Amino acid sequence: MNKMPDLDGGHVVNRSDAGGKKPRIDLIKEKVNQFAARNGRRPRVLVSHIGPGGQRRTLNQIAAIFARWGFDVDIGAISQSPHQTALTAIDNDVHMICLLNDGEHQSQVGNDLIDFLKAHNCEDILVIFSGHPGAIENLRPTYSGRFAPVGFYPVTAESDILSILDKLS
Amino acid sequence: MDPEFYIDGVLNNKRSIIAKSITLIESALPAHQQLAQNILDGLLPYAGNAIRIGISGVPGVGKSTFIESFGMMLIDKGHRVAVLAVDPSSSRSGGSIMGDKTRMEKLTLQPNAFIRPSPTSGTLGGVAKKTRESMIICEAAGHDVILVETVGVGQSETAVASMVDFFLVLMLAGAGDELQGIKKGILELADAIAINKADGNNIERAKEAQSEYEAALNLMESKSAVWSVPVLTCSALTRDGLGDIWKAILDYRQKLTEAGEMAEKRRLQAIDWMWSLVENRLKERFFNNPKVKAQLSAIVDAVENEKTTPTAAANELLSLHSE
Repeated sequence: MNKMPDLDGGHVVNRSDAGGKKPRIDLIKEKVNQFAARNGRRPRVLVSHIGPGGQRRTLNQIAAIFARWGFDVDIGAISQSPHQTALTAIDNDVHMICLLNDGEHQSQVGNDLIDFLKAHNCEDILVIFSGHPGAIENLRPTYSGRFAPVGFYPVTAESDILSILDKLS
Repeated sequence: MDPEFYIDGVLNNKRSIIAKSITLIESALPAHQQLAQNILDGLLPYAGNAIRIGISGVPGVGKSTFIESFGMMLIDKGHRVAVLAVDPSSSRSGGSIMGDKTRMEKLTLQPNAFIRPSPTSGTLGGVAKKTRESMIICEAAGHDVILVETVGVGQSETAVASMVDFFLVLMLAGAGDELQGIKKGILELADAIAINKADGNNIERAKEAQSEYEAALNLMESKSAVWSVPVLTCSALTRDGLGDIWKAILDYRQKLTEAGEMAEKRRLQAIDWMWSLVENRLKERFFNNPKVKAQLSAIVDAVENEKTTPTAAANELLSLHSE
């Protein structure tokens, strides 16, 4: 959990060299700009940490990734309750919530969050997870299509964010 | 979408509808702007009754913590509080990072609070316009105190000061040389100054800073015949002094209302608003003009490569626009 790979451009550059195609980050930026042109604003994401523990630094890092992709990013506090996160997401009218959680209670936390959003008629807000791969594998059947890992594994995250952007539009 | 849907939702204080109405105000799409205008027309009769407070201060002065504590105090007093944040930090790539809520954890949870930071990216100086209109939405939803937060750098304070009833400037007791670093401009905008973080070992230094600011303000011409700008101390952490700030705000409102200055202030702000709308629309028209659009990047390149002068380029762009 605490071991963060290099989140800066390094991965991106390597990948683009390998394929000889457009770097994936450019594809994402392109899609984000298209989204903004269609919707009148950039995609807006709330990066939030629910539950005990959690590091401010990790939140900031994930936020920086989204900002680099061209998203508008709200950073929540660490150790929030699902209710706090839901209300922040609603007030800010975000398109999605990127949830950080250490894994153990992730599925419960995600369910609670989605319940709060539903109670406010805001179930159209997408919930995605950034966590360690084990937790993500376990969750995949539960939240099919509703989340993707972001940040810890940029390679996966970048391809996932492309399909998420399609879903948002 | 039907404007009535939004108008009803806002008047019934539906959180998600308030949020979506503000999104329409912030949207760059003409269809959204038209819808937002219709919503605002419907809500305008219900707005204007709140007390509007601008809060500014340099980064690190503790604005968010102050707003959390001040907002909670007001909610305990039975008020409904909306917080709008102007001019959050932007990143280079075009997306904005907004972290204003991080220290407003209790306030976020209050059913009587609404907190909304707005991204500045991609707006053509229109942040102030959007904040004014967002205030109308919040007031129509029944929020009777609007707090507009702005970072104490750049142009945003002037814009915010021109849309609020009361402009509060937060300061810190510093190493003693803080007065030199402060732009005179921000003191001129202030209706009150509060030295924050006056707690624990810092109380004495806060008191010293207080008399320094009082001395500095004495040298300045007063904006109002009935109000002299007070310098207060407070602690957002212990909540000491927050009640005095609220008392000063109420006192200010009463004195200026009785003297007729408040009505005059709002009249002048309305004129200000008109001019800023004119400015925004001119800019919009300029950038949406097809002839300008077609030539813009080439002309920008020419200036960048020193093939033409900025003045010649500006003349050319403007003549394209008026063709």
